[in-house]
Amino acid sequence: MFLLIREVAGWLLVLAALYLVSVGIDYVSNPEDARIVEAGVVMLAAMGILRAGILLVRISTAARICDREQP
Amino acid sequence: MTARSRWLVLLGIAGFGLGILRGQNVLAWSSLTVLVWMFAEWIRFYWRVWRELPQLKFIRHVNDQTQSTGLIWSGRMLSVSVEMVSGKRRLSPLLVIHDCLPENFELVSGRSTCVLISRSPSSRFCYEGRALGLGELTLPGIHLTLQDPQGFFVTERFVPLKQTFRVLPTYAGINESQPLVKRMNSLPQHGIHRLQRAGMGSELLELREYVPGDPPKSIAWKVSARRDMLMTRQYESEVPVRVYLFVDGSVGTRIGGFGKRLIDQMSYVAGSVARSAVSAGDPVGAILFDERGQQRIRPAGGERGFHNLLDQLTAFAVPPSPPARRLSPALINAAMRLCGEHYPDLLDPRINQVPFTFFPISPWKRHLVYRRSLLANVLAGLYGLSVSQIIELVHDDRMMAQFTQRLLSDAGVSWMPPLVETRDQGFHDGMATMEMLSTAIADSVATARDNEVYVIMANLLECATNISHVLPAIKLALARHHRVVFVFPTPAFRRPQPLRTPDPGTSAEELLERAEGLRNCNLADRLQRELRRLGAKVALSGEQEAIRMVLAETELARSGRVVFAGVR
Amino acid sequence: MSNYTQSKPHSTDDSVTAARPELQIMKAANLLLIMFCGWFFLTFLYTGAVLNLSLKFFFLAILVLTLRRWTGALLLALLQVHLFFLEPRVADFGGAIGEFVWVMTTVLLIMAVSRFRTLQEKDEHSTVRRLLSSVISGGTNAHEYDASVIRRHTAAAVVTSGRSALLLVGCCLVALNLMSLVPADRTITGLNTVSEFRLRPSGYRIIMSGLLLYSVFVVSWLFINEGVWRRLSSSQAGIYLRSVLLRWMHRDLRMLTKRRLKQRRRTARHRERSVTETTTYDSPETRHVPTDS
Repeated sequence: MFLLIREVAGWLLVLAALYLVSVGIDYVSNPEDARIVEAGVVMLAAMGILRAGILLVRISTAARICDREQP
Repeated sequence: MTARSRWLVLLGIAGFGLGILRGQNVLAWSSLTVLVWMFAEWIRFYWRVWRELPQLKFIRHVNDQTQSTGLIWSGRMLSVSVEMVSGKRRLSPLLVIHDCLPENFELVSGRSTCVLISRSPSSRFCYEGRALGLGELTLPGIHLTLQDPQGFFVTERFVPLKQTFRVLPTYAGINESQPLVKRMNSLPQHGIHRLQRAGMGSELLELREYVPGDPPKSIAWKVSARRDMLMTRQYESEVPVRVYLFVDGSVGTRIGGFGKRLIDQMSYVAGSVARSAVSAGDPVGAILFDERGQQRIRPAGGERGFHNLLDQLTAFAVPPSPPARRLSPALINAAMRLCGEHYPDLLDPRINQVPFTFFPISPWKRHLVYRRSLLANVLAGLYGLSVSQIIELVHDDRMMAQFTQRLLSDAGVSWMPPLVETRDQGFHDGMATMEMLSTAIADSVATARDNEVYVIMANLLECATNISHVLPAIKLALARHHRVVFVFPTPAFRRPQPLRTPDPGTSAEELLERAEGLRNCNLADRLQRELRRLGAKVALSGEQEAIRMVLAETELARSGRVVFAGVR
Repeated sequence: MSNYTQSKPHSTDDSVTAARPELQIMKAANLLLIMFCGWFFLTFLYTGAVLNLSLKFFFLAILVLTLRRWTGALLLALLQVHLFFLEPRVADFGGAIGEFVWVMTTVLLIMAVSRFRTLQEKDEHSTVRRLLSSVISGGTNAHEYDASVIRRHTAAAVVTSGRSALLLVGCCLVALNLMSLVPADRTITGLNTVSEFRLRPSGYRIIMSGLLLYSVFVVSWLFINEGVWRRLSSSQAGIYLRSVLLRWMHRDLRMLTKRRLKQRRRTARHRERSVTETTTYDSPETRHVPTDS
């Protein structure tokens, strides 16, 4: 159960990161009002959150595999 | 991702950027197309790794058998075929399938690798080979290298397909010539031979004066009449001849490549002698001794006894944990190569992560530490070590050496450098062997019966100067009327010959070989002199002549005589 | 000799296949493709340049050497250099048929070269050497395969090449679409971006395209990788968990371990010294003999 909660948390973080990526794209998608600096900051934050989310997902998946294999 | 694809991605990104910046659309388009194409190939490749690889099934036939265990004979040909089928889909190229061969297996014909170039539903390849030395032969599994057609992405996998065989020792079929003269009045039971001691046999030993209590049936009336005194016929004993094989399994006998170890020579002699003895109906037993202690195999005759003996010899020849050695780069390299072949998926940097450290700064040393950390993680995974033990493996050379040796030993690597150090302790090993041998002989004599043949195969050449340590035990055995034959295996597999050519040559190898030959010859001479003085027979090396000598001695024991000349 | 003590564990098995017909036919098909692309580029490359002929020879030399030594990346670099210096700068971009053919041929050439090199690595015999031996033997080796086998493998090679070409067409079109996602009109974007951020329109286009490409890549990478991650074996999962935990606690554990090892070594040295002292005291050579004085 604990592993499942952790995995869900990981996926939530991944979704949040993807949302931030879309926000970053939004910032620069309007050529008349392109906010490049803000987009850069948001993308950096998105990368960090994505990394954390993937780490959580991977760890919980690996732990589940180990748990399943053990008698 | 290979270097080829990395360069293309780099150029694609650079070209795309420059094309957009400078408004050169074809440059940007072609570069972006390269990037998109690489991406598409990557997705296709991952799809194959994800979907196709898990569906692959392998079947290995060894001599048309697919069982996971079995028995084979060393030196005899094995035919192996590996069949690969995919569950639902067809196999896509490029796929390199390599059946990992252990060191104890020599490939004679065919190839143990197959490359799949075009799409096909199944694949099959065959090869032939033989087991080199007795002990164990494990075919661990299949190493797969999956590649996309352009060679942009490569992944390696290992599919375990373990088949373990016990490798029985080979033996020589000796054609024994039967004597033409009639040597016995009545045919005894198979395996029963004459012994020149008073007993209840059918052959006459001697005539002696009558002693009250002798059965009247045994009185020789004609002789009594001639001599005018009562004479009694004394008959010989009829006993089985027991052959005892003393096999030395100390460290020195296990060092070397499979098939070239001293223990392989000794097992060959032991197998041949046992075969001959069992054919003659004699029970054969063995005492196998090494640093772990001695193992006694009770004498038994017949095919069952023979196969039991070979089985025990085989189990004895399986290398135990090797003697501890210092950690060396060669040892780490060997372990890494083994991991690359057997556990490529555990070396994947996404899975086997190495912590970042500032030190050491030098790139070469950093690389060494990185490899050692990778290996430590793999060892931890295989042997269930904790995280703190992984750190210990990285920093403690002794622990690392111990586990690396264990890894190599478990994979069936022979006792050669770098697994074991080149030992300069032949003398000390020999002294220990003498100690063990003395104990084994003394124990055996204590429980022996009459008319036994002791075939002693031990690595004593190195300590010939101190052979006096083992002489009391030999004297004891000879005093109890047992026949003692020594077979000393030599590293060169041949009898040390006195060198005839005065000019040894000038190269270092030739000089070394000559020096080694001279030394062996001197040691052999000394050993032979000492042992023959006592009355024991000595043969050198595991060649046919040694086997014949043992068989001759056994034949002598069967005949009930002391020497060949017929003198009683 | 130990397998694992050699420099390569199974070095003889790297080029493992004998002269298999499918391998030879595949190689021949790719060689034909390379020749076609080479002819195309030799015809249209460097037209208008000063050292036209020399540059063409240079390209030909690189093309031939690539079959033996280098990879397709060098050819891509050459073509990019050509475009960098000789392609005119055009504001609007529609993807004309001539440009499409150029792009297709470029990628086709890289694909054919890469495939040829990959197949060559699996072959024991070089194609050139094989052709030469066939010529020397007067074509006696030419008919070593059955005609039906050759026909079957040729058909397979054509199908494989056609499928790959279709993939390349698809990639070309996708790339075109991706490029058209970001507007190339300078007159609209130029004024605003330059005035506000001192950013050129082309710079803006790069950032926008980079972001788009990155986001597409990240999303697909994420789902593919996570899908594959679920196929981990238990031993892989165990090693991953251990190594991640080790990364987190590395500094502390290393400090503790080093201290423990140092302590152990010190104890061992101390014990060794005490044993040596005892031995030297007992040995007759160093035994102290009291004198009368």
